Parts: sequence; C-alpha cells; structure tokens
Amino acid sequence: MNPILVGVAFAVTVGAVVAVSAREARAALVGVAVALAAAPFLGDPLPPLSTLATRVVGAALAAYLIRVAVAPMPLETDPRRRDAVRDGSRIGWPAEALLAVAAWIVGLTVSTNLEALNPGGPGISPDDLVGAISASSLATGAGLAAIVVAIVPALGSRHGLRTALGLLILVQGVLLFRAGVGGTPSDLEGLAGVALMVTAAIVGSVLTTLERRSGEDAHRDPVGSLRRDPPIESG
Amino acid sequence: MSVLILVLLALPGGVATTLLARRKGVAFAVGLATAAAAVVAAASIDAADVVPIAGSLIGGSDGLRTLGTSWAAFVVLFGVLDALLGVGPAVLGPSLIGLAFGAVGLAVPDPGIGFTLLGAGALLTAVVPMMGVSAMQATGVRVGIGAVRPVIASTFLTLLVVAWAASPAGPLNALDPLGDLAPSLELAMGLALLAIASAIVLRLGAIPGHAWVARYAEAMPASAIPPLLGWGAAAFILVSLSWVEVTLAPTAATLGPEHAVIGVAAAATIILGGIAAVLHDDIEHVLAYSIVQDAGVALLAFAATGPTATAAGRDWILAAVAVKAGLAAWVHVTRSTFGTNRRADLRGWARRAPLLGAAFALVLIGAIGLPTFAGFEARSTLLRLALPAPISSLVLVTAFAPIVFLGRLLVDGVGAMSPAVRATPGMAIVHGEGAWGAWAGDRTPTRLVPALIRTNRLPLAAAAAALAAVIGLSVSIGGLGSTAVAGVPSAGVGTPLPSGVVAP
Repeated sequence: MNPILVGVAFAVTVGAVVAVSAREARAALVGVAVALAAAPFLGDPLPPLSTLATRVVGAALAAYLIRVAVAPMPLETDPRRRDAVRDGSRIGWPAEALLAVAAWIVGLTVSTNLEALNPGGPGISPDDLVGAISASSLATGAGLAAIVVAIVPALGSRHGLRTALGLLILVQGVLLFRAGVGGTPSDLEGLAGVALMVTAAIVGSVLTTLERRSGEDAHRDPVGSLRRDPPIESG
Repeated sequence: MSVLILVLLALPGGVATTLLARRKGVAFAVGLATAAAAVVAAASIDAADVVPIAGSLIGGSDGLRTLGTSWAAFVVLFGVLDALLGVGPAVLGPSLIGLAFGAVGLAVPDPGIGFTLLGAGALLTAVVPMMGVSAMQATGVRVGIGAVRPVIASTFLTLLVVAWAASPAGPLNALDPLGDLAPSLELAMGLALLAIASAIVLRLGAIPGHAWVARYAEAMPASAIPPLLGWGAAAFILVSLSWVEVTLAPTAATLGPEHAVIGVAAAATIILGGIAAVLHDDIEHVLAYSIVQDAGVALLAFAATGPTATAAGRDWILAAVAVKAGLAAWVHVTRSTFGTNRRADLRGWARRAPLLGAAFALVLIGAIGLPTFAGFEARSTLLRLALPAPISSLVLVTAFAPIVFLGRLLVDGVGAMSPAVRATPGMAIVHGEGAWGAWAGDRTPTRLVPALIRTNRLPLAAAAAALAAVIGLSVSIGGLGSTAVAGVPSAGVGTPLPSGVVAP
C-alpha cells in the first residue's frame, strides 16, 4: 500500500466534498481545483510525463474557466430571488463526507472482488479489503465517492454555478472509476477525458455567466424579472 | 490520416469561429471556409487508412466517409442559413467542434473514447450557442441545464457500461468460450444492454426522456437542432451499435426480457411521438416530436440482435437524421421569412414561397419513404425483427404519422393565404437597380454582390433549404449500406485494446 497514493486519493475526495458543499464560491473552486489536479496522479505506474502534464494542465484550465465566470453576486435581500444565489449543499458537509466514506467502502469492495476474479492478479481474498488496496482500488473508491457526492448537484440543481461544479466532479469521478475498474486507459482515452473535462468546464462557465446575467437583469428590473418569461424569439 | 485531416481542420476552425463570434463577418468567413474544407476532407476519407496515435488506432471507413461528408455539408448549409437570416455565428463554431469530436469518436475502435468524445461534443453544441442567442440571456440557464442533464447522464451510463465490460467481471474477460454462460454474467449483460438503451432514451429524447427536446427546440434557433439531436445523436447510436455488436452479440446470451422492455419503450416512443407531433400546432414542436419518433425507431435496433438489425439501425439513423436536418432547414427559413411559427398563421406559405414548398415536398417524401428507399426498408426491417406481429403492424402504421403532421402543413401551404403570409414580400430574386435595395454605401461593381445577397437573402435561404432537402432525400434513398462506421472495420487489426475491446 503506497501512502502517497492514499494521500492523493484522500485529497481527491476531500476536494470533491468541499466543492459540492461549500457555500462560498471561492472555497468550492478550491475544492474543484484540488480534486481535478490530484486525480491524474492516482495511477501506479504513473502515466507518461506528457500525458500527466496534459491532464494537470487540463484540470487547471477547467478550474480557471469556472473561476473566470464567477463574479461577485449582488447582495440579495429579496427572499423571492434567493434562488439566484448559491446555497451550497442542503445536507451539509458532514453528511456529504459520510456519503463519500460509504462510497469509498463500496468502491474498495468492488475493486477487491474484481481483483479476486482477475486470473492474473495477486490472488487476494475478497474479504481482505486492506490488503487489496492498490492504485486501481484507490481510483475506484475515489471515483465512486466523487460520483456519489456530485450526482445531485450535477443532475438535480437549478443553479448554473452549482451545476457546473457538480458536472466537473461527476466527470472526474466517472473517469477515475472507469480507470479503476477497467484498467489504465490509453493515452488517447486520457486525452479524450481531458477534452470532456475542459468541455464540461466551458459549459459550466456558460451556465454561470447566463445565471449572472439573468441575476443582473433581475436587479435592474426586479418586478419584471418575476413576470412569466415571454416566448423565445430566435435570432 | 484522412480522418486526422478532417479533425485538424474542423477543431481549430470551430474554436476560432466560436472565439470570433462577436465579429460576425470574420467568424462566418472562418467558419464557412473551414466547413467547406471539412466537406472535402470528409469526402476523401479512405477505408484503408489506419493511423496509430497515442496508443490507439484511428481509421476511416466507407460509412464514416458518407456520414462525415453529409454532416459537414449540413454544417456548411446551416452556416449559410444563419448568415443569411441574421442569426449570427453562435451555432457554427460549436457545430464544427462537434463534427471534429464525432469524427474521432467514430474512427476509433475503443468505445470508451467514442462515448467520451461524443459526450464532450454534445455538451458543447447544446450550451455554447446560447451565449450568442440574445433571447437566451434571460432563460438560458433553465434551458441549458435541461439540455446538460440528459447528455451527461447518457455519457455517464455508457462509460460505466464500458468500464464494466472491460473489467475482469465483464464478458470480454469473464466469458468462458468452452463453457456455458454463467447466469450472473448473463444477468449483468442484460443490465448493460438496458443501461445502453437508457442512455439512448436520454440522449435522443425518446419517451419518457422527451421533455428536454421539446423545450430545447422551442428555445433555440432551428439550426442548433441538427448538431445536437441529429448528427451527434446519430454518432452516439452508431458507437452504441458497434459496442453491442462486439460485446454482447457474440455471446450466447438470449436477453429476451431485456429486448422486450426495449421494444416496449421503442413502440411507445413511435406511437406517442407521432401523436404529439400531430397535436402540436407550431413547427418547432412538430420538428422536435418527429425527431423523438425517429429515436423510437432507432431504439428498435437494440431490441433485436444480429447483423441484420444492426445494419438496419445504421441505415435508419443516417436516413432519419439527414431528412430531419432538411426539415430543420425548412423550419429555420420559414420562421424567419414569415415571422411566425403557428400553423394557422402560415396558411398559404407555399404559394408565397414556392421554392420552400418544393423543399418541404422533398422532406415529406424522405420522411415517409418509398419502397426501395434505404430508410423505408430499414424501418420496416427493424419493426419486423424487434416486435411481434400484429404489434409491429400497428406501430408501422403510426410510424407513417409524418403523412399527417407534415402533410397537413403542405396542404395548409397551398391554401388561401393568412394575413401574416400575405404581408410577406414575394420570394422572387431581385436584380437590376432594385438589387441595391437599402444599400447605403458606394454603388460600385465590387459592392454589387454583397448588395444582391443582402437584398435577396430570403430567396437565397430558401434555395439553401431546398439543397438541404435534396441532400437529405438522397441520403435517405442510399443509406449507409451494411458497412460499419465506428471502429476500424476492414484493416484486419486484431490487437486487443487497453479497454479490452478487440478492433473488429
């Protein structure tokens, strides 16, 4: 068991929990940046330096794209417009952390059982969770934890920024889980993952910008913005 | 190499077009030139051309050439339409990027790469155009989130299935070629097939995942529909079919209950999608629900196993996407020409714009199909293979609902003109002194062409829509044939890939 890899996996999970549960946008962005930047190092052996560098740069770019789109939200006192402001996780960070721990246990169990099925594997018993900790099991656990904490903000939130952050963590979680369960991806698949990550960040940036603009319109015309939206005219 | 050329043209060209979107003239020039070059590059894709890159293989195929050329041609046509109709280049850039991602996704044998890139392309083509559509500034978040959810959910499902298949517990590694199929493995394979089908339901907007399609079609310009719900969706179906063909079909799994569930979902989508298209009175919703109905037919390819169903599925999705892209072009031009999308307000439209009428007639023929058309035969084959009689006959009848919801638009078009249509100027080409129109600049010979284009933009847009309809009908007649599209079909490569998928 490599303690550095365990630390990296822990950092990914902590970053994911912070990203989806923080009330402050800046704290959430730090969580996203940590989770995305640490994930490429969850491999044994590490991928080639060029691939590693591409994934780290992609992670930094993804976090930066969201950062650029986040502007100071206007102070909102009208409770009817409170939905325009991010509120973080509704269940709080302790509950999110417990969900992540549960997902970790499930991920380790899945990985251990897969290792037991692997005819070329080290022959580990499915009951020996600790002995089976390896890079792939850490990736599986961290990936599943990220998926579990991010799935609600990514697919169930109505806020642009929260959706963006959930989207990034969910994509990273799926890519980690895929690598942990299915084996180390090829370099081209790694590049495809970077493309998906950056694309998710671009989309999140667009959603955040649109949300900020609609919030600014609401402040200029708070009554008008509460009226039913008129039919959309194209062009 | 030929696929790489297409990607190396389309990707940076698309990025440049998107970044230059505020400078409309420059963006259109870059985007349209890139798209035109992409048509040439796609038409030169060579089936024997296999390139190793970054630990994987990228190869062309006859099917990829057909699909890529059609896709790129429609990117050009919709770019021209957006330029003529004053919509702006918001859709053109993401469409090019989606084309690049789609080409690579279809050219690699590893479905994990394919699904990842197609998911990225779909996200871009769904949301980025919203930045350039002025009406989206107030409501874009709601529509954008509504489009992101099914795309990311479908990508998520497919990547999980691919991961399972490549794991020690998946059929690629756990299957004993000399022994019986373990019940647990057969169960897992059935769940995997249902997961793939669920991903298709979400991605294509089949029932019950159809709501976002209607909202998206209502909110966005019609030119934004084909990249997301047309070509991108077709690529997704093709990669899914290839995955099923390689991973599940060769096993002895019967998967009867799973096929029945998928068949029911597909039949419901065909029937209810057709009914919804009949009930709606605005042309955007008619377009959206006709696409939903097509998704139901495509889903039938997963309710039956075997190369016949797979080939029919490939033929169908290409034909359907091409015809509906032609319909989207008609919707786009009609909406801009007459300023309305309501059927009641569009009475007499074909009399005012005969070229649009001709385009619509071609779309109608392609949507219904005739015997010996590839799309028509594929639809009949899928219904026969996937559904038992007499259910297949009932569903086949409802599959001809375009006769009603498109036919009545044509009947309305040749009737008495409504006030909105009567108020629209005629569609004859203006030339001579009148060509200058409201041109305020110098009337020099070099300025004549831009002035002509500006004055005759609506007739030119109608001509572009007619060309789109012709291409759509041609593809519907010819189809894809039995050639594979995704993967490296004929290069004879048998190297197991890191994901465990053997290149076909």
